[in-house]
Amino acid sequence: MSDISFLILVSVTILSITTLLISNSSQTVLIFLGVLYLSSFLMLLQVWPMGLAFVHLITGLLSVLVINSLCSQLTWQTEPPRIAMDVLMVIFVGVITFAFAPQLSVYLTESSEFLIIGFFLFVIGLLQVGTSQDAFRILISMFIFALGFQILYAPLEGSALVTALISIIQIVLALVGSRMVIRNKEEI
Amino acid sequence: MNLPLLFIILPSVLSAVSLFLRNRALYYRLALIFITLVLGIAAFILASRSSSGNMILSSSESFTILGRSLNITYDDLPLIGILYLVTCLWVVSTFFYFSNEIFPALCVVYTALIIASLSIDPFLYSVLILFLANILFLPILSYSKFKHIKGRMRFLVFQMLSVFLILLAGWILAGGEITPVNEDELFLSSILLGVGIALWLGVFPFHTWIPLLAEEVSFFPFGFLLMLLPVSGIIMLMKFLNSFAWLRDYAAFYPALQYLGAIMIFLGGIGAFFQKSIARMSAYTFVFGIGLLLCSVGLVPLASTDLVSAWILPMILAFWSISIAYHDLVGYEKRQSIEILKGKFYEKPLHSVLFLTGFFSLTGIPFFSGYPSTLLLFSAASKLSPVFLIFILGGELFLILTCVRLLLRLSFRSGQNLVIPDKINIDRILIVLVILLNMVMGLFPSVFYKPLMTSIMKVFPLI
Repeated sequence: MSDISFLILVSVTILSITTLLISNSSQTVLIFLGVLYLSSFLMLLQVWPMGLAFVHLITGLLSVLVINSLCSQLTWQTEPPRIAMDVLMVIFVGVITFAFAPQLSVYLTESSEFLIIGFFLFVIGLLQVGTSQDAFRILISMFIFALGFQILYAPLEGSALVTALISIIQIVLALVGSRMVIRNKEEI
Repeated sequence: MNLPLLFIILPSVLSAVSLFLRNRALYYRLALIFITLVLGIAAFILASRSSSGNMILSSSESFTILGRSLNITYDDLPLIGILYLVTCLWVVSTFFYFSNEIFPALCVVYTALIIASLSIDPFLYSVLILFLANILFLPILSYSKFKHIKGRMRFLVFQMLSVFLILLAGWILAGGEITPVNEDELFLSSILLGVGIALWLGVFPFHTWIPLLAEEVSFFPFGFLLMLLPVSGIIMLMKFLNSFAWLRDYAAFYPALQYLGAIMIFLGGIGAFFQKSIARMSAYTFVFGIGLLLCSVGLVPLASTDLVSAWILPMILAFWSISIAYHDLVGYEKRQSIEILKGKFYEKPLHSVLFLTGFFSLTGIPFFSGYPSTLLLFSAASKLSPVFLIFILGGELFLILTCVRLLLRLSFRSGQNLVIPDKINIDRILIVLVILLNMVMGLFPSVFYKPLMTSIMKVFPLI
């Protein structure tokens, strides 16, 4: 992957994540989640055959559509301290990732581009899952977290069965998770 | 004939098709009972025929799917048979206790997925299959009045994280099946694997999802999930041990499992005793059960796989008894205080006894199925450090005190008299049979445990 395309992908990823975290509408969040799937598709094309990478993209977009069909009307209040914390989290994780992720190549034999973007998404997703109170945000964070893992794992394992299983898991999770979120919101 | 096709694909497809019949509750449930019963019995018959050398049927044991294979050997069949018979018991219970239409079919699919996870090659993918099974099960768990979802979300997050950690650890270790990996890789993969399995099984300090989940979901399907989840997790752990020689020789591995198991036993016992909520109390008892299984794996160098085998059946019976009795005594009550149980013995004597027998089995009280397993556990644990024994004894003591607490609540008389029903419902027969089975297993353990011990030893010959 050339330096310019890597830079573009990193920028798109960081901007999408930031927008996704500070947004107060579920539709905006889902659009940027879709953008993340698109950029990850471009990355996976480097290591996977077109068919497998396409399955990843379609699954991601389908999950976004499923969540959108159930949770499209959700909105929430964004508070300035929370926005500040999320932005700081992105900066902090970004710095840590750029500093340490390439060193993981000792254990995981893959290029540093994959390690940086995968690790960044993985950690951001994990931190968001831990710090969010809102069920919808937790659900979206789980998808970011899973996306990070898929980018980390893709150069190591290009099995059709793993891709198929992860795809099924993703779609079922979108369906089950968004139904749970909606039921929970109805009660509130 | 193809064993994976017979024991994984066929039941999954048939149970999915049976959903079309779900409006005819009787036929739908009878069909599923028939499928599970036949598969359970067939597994035992095939296993016995193959061991006696009278095998007439020629069988292929592998089924290829997307470039990978599902492999079932004849040695695996007794374990598969037990899983199907246990599922059959749960499906039979749905006649009387849990009216959800999808649950019986999903029980069979869940069991088939558990078996798929045990038979897939490379076995690392099993975590993905198990995770899929758990997500599929989530809507059934949500079949209740409780709309808060904190526990379910935590369950999902922990399971997902554990899947990723185990897959990464597995990839690092992939070369370790042939040649040993270097020290750094070994350390990293051990950490990933350890944390992954701890998250999966709800090992301390990642156990918090178990009581949280128990409070907000229907207890009946929760019991089914918590019965199969640890069994599949422990079998996965033993597969790791069987596959990687370096893991068996790793000095810190067995002591770590022993202490984690002992801490969970202690935590489960003390947690159960101090709870005011009956759901949390039962959930901590499940934590106690998971601790027993984990501890048994830790004691493999002293007691071989016998201790694990000896705990599987009592745990299954105990979890079934607690879940069924809880469902009948507490139901979907939002107020889950232990005070609900006051005087229940006079109102529902049989279910009260069933509830207690579940606790008695895990505690290892004489004449119950857990008694021989507890004796075996103590005899193996006595060879280790006293600290380890103190943790286990402490946990046991607190669980016994929990039993006493339950006994006092259930038998609290507030002007009620014992109600003897005019006619006997069929579900009472089932309950009496299970209580009797529980006691017979405690009185004649070798009849039930010996064949399971032999078959598990054959599945994991290198441990």
